[in-house]
Amino acid sequence: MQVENYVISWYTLYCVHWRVPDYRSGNLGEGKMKKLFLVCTILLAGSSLVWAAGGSKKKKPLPYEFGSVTISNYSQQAGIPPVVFDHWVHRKNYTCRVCHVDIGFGMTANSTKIRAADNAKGYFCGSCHNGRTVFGKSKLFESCATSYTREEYNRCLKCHSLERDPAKEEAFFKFMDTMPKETFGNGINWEKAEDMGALKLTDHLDGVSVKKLAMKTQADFSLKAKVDGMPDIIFSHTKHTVWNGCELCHPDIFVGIKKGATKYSMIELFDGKYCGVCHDKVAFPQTDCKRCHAKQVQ
Amino acid sequence: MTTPARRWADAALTVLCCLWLFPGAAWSEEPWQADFDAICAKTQDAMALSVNELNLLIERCTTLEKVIDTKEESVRKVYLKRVQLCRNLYAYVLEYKKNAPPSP
Repeated sequence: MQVENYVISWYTLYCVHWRVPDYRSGNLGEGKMKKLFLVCTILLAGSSLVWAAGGSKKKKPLPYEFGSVTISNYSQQAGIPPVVFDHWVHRKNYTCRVCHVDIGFGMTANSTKIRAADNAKGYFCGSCHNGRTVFGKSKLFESCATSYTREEYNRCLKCHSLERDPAKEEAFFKFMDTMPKETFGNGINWEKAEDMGALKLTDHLDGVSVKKLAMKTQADFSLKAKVDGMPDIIFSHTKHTVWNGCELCHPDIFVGIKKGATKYSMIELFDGKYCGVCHDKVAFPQTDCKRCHAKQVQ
Repeated sequence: MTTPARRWADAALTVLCCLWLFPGAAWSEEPWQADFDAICAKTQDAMALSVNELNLLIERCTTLEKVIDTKEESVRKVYLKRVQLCRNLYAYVLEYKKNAPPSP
């Protein structure tokens, strides 16, 4: 939490300074500016004290590491390394909904408790990684079995590996080169990539997904920022519903249906609640203020 | 010239061939899975459902959960979570609809 406070206060200043065109022309008002600066200074001083008392700065993940999840429920018992799941490899082809609703993967690492037996029966990773599913021009490799030979063990290591894999890194950068760039996260603007047709996401898996009617497009809406001078948030409801469906966010993550019914602060978001369930971990980080605080200041 | 008996025989043969060629479509899906598909197919359209429809769907979710609870572990792990996602969404929309001010 202490690191987040530090980040929030400085990014508040950063955003106010760089993202609001009228700020320096005095529209914000000297009194408000002083108040804002005082709040930020107190937050910074407080968080610095807590940090100095034993906190540690979290290492910023490298672009190809951003969104990777280490899964280790039963690996150690089985005598193999944990799984390092690369989100980017999957999200370039599928919507979040396919895996987190239709296949049933949880939203936090290790919450699903995937077993090799589940995969072997065609659930979780085994929904696609079954040695039969064809993707592109090749069959997807089969996920781990409950027992394996020495040769099959190499297949296990495709996912069960904590070692750096230069081939994977190279594949990431090769893919990244074709995508619109972004400053934060893994350096890819996924939303823009889909909008410009660089990504065509699959939202249905035969034999797994339920056949549904096309979803009614949800309109984007704005939310008031809590700090004076900070641009209001434009929530991309359209994109979120297309990628996630309704049930992934409601009611588990956002309880209120009525706009503004769920009250939350940046502190909670940085603590992994609400938007923070995905943003920072897999979706673009919340330090990229302008991605959400995007409403033009009048 | 084909007789009615011959036509029936041809039709039966066609059906048998189809069943032989596509066995998955005929036998792989258990009744509870069809029920699951029918219940969860409406999540995209939950806001358009009436209070009665939502109540009925929630009731069906509860019944389905009991059936899934008797299945083997992998099925339980996957489908109980999936049914709960549907059920929670319907319950959430229902609560909203019950508390929403009447439309003019």
